[in-house]
Amino acid sequence: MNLHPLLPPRARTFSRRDLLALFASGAGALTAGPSLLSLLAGDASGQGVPGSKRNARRRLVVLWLEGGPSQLETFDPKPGAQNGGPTRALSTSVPGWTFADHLPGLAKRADQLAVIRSMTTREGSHARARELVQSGYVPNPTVSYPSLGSIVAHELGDLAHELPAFVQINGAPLQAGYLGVQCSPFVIDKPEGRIENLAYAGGVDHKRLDHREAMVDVLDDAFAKRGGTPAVDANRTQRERARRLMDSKLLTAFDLSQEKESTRDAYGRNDFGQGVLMARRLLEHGVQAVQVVLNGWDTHDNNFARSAALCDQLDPAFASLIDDLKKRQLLADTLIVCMGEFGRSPEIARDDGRNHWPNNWCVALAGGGIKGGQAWGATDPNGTTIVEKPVQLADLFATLGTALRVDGSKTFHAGLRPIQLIDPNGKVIQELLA
Amino acid sequence: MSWTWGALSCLSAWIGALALAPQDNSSATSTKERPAPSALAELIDQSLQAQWPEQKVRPADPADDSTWLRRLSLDLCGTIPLREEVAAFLDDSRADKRLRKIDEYLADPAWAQNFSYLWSNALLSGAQKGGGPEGTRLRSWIEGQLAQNRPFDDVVHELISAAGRNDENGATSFVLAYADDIESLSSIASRTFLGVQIQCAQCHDHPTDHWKQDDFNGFTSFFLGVRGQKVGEMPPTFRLVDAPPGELKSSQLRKLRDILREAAKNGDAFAVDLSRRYRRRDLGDLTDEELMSFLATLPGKQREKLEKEIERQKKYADPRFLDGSPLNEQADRTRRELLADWMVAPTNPWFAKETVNRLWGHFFGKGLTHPVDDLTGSGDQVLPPLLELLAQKFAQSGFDLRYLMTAMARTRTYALSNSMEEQAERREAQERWFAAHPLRPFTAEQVLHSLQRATALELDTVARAKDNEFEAERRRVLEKFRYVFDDDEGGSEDRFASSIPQALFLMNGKLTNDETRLKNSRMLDDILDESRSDRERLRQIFLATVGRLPSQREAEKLGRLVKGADGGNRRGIEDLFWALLNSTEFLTNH
Repeated sequence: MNLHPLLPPRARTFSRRDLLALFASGAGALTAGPSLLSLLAGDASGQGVPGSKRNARRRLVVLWLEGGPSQLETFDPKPGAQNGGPTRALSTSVPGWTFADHLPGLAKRADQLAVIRSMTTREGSHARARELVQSGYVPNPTVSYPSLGSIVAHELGDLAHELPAFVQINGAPLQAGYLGVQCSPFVIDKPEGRIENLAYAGGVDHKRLDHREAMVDVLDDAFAKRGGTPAVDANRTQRERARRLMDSKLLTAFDLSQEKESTRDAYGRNDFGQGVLMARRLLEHGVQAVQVVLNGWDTHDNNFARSAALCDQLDPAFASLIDDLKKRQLLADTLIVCMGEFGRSPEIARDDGRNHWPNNWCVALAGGGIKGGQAWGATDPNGTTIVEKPVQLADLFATLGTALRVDGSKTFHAGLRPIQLIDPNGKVIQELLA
Repeated sequence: MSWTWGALSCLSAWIGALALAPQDNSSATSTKERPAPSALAELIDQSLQAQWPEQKVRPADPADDSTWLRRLSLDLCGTIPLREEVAAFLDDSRADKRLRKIDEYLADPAWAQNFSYLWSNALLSGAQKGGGPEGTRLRSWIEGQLAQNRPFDDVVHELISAAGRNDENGATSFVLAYADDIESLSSIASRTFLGVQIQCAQCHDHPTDHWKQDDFNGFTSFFLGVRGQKVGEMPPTFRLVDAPPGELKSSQLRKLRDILREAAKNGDAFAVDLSRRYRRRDLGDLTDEELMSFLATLPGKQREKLEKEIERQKKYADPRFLDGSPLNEQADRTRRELLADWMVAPTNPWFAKETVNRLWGHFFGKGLTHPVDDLTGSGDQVLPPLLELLAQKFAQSGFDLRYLMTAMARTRTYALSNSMEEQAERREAQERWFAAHPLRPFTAEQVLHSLQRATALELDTVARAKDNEFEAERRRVLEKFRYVFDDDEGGSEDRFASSIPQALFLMNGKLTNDETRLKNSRMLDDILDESRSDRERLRQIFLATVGRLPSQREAEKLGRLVKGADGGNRRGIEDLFWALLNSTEFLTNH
């Protein structure tokens, strides 16, 4: 990825003072102003206020259920069937449609959800399946395929914004590969507590850091004169952004104490719930994509109790997110995708467990571009086969790409190999789109 | 292809001249088959130089001693040089000091460790979790081989064909790191050692190269027989064995029997039922017909799984060499041994070339053929006859890595400065023809080692004792660095896309802050102890970090900034130390 697509070929090396001068008028502003790049290119339209319908650049929230959530304990229950286990079904707000009874909040909001019950893939190992489902491409030892979040950051995000375009809360990140390292997720481990390396180091305040940077400038200017210009330019850009992030008033996005206690309670006082709340804040502060990971779904034993406990975290967080975004008029432009790397086996194994099951599993969608109130595809009464409308991963990604208004045919190169942003072999499921 | 007849005749002249090349005093002696390293270096220089007028590129100036030394230290030992070393080298007035330095580094344990990372990173790039504990064992084994300068064909032969316990022969760890994933194993082996990217042909014929699915299947077939048998729990120990080719050929249902045997052991219902039905205790004894009839009775999912396994066995039933050479199966050689024989034979079209190309890329920034591990693709090929010739000489040397690296490091080409061209296209042209040395970001290992060295976190040499705990800690730290400093060799055009987490780590992280504080820093302590003047302090801090002396201008400007620090000179020194570690120059291999 070319960092400076809009810079003229003979860009001189900016010193830090030059850059600061250019930002002087907009420094510290709460809204994201036009980026330096766009100023240089003579394009002042920039990103605009987050959430503005004028721009309608869609945002993305991925609720990633790490370990492979059981579809029978979430969105495709089979009470009474041989494989159903003790899980009961709950009527949703859409007649005839049921969820597992551990998802009451989502059941009430089913009119805003579209659930694919017939997702089918062939990867049964965690690491490979995670890469597969997050990126839409079969993992390949020679290529790093970027995740959907990185795609959104690259295509829709503002890479010059003070906050990173793609943030991940918890979990192992996928690299952005050919989209460039700026689109890799900025990972924070827990929504509460310090973000690594974001704070000024002990004994270093604003003034001292300025003083230090002045020394770096001397060294970088000298290095540029000896042939180091490309490296200096790239490095300076990132250092500037890092500094702006450290000093950014938008860092309040990461500060949950700004929220009412009742709001924090509604999302759930656990890492996942608070992480989803943080996701909402991040979107409001101009972050384009957020992925929040809920771990623990790999229930090879004690599946029922464990799934129930996890749903107790998933349900209020997901439901609150929908409500909250709607209230702030952000839902229409925010796509929410809730899924894991595969489902779980209908056959109940020993120790009350369910094993890995990519054959049929569920994806829940809400928000921007999605037509709610429908279940897409169906499985047989025992939950072992798909009887209606199987959905391949490429179809899912084609559909999500359309919902996000991303041009999936854009081509990048891993080495010499051309790769489209989104696998072209999928078919968009129009009925899922609003 | 853009080399001229002039270049070709130049090369021919050199090929002739090589036979008469004079001896030189290097430790890598010349033999009848191989020219002295300096002669080979001269050949490289002349071949490239002959191209430059035609290509309208002018060479950059020769690099100064400090630039050259730092570059060599990073490329050979994976770390910046020690400041004492830099000072001594700058003071050294011997005409052959650079030749001596090359020899010195090649004999350093850090060299073996550095290149063990080069190959193990490449070999493990397709394995889950970087190969886990097998990865550590593999890297360690490779390091041992390199330390003895074992001929590289022997090393690779063993990596491909080794059998036995992984705690007795670390070479088995390469295959074991891939467990059952022979498709990834074959892709990585082909790519790393032959520069042939067959993985694209796994699911369909390669779109741009000439490899077909049959080629992929034929190559992967050599690995079909591998079995990792667990022989110990604490720590997990495996024995790598091969199913004999006879057995593979005659029974495609062997794996099915294995599955059934396992199932019977676990007491799985259907296996118990089966053994009762056929009155066999060992389900491995079932005949093919019995197995097929049993398959028909299985419920859908299980039958599908087993049928898939049978398909897989069929797909990889027939091993074939990629160049169409005949395969003669022998009872006393496993398929992997036959593959290894073919791979490292002098007649193999790719092995020597790929090794040379990969090392060329390591020293010069990109291979003569680009990408570095894609010899048969449609990528840029600069001066193919040179690559051919170097491959020949490498093979004739007995695949002697030290010899090859000595030659490359001795070239004038390696000693050029960076491009001073302002226009991107002119810069690219200059770098493409190796008329200027490229800028490269550090690898994760180089970051770790260089930061440690600059801050004197580890005073002993880079090659430390390799006990398991240290290895584990090192891996953990490297994983973190790899994420923070990942330069996604997956294909970003912009090699300098550093990231915010990287910048934050350098600006605010413990390593660059705590370790630069006067009360903590051993490096600063030593420097302040030794130095009599501000000027001397400045020089020493520069030597410790960027491996050179400050320019007049830098000394003036930075001297003023140090004095002008809030809290005085001592705080200013900390700031300077920090600034050098945060400078672009520090983490650039230039």
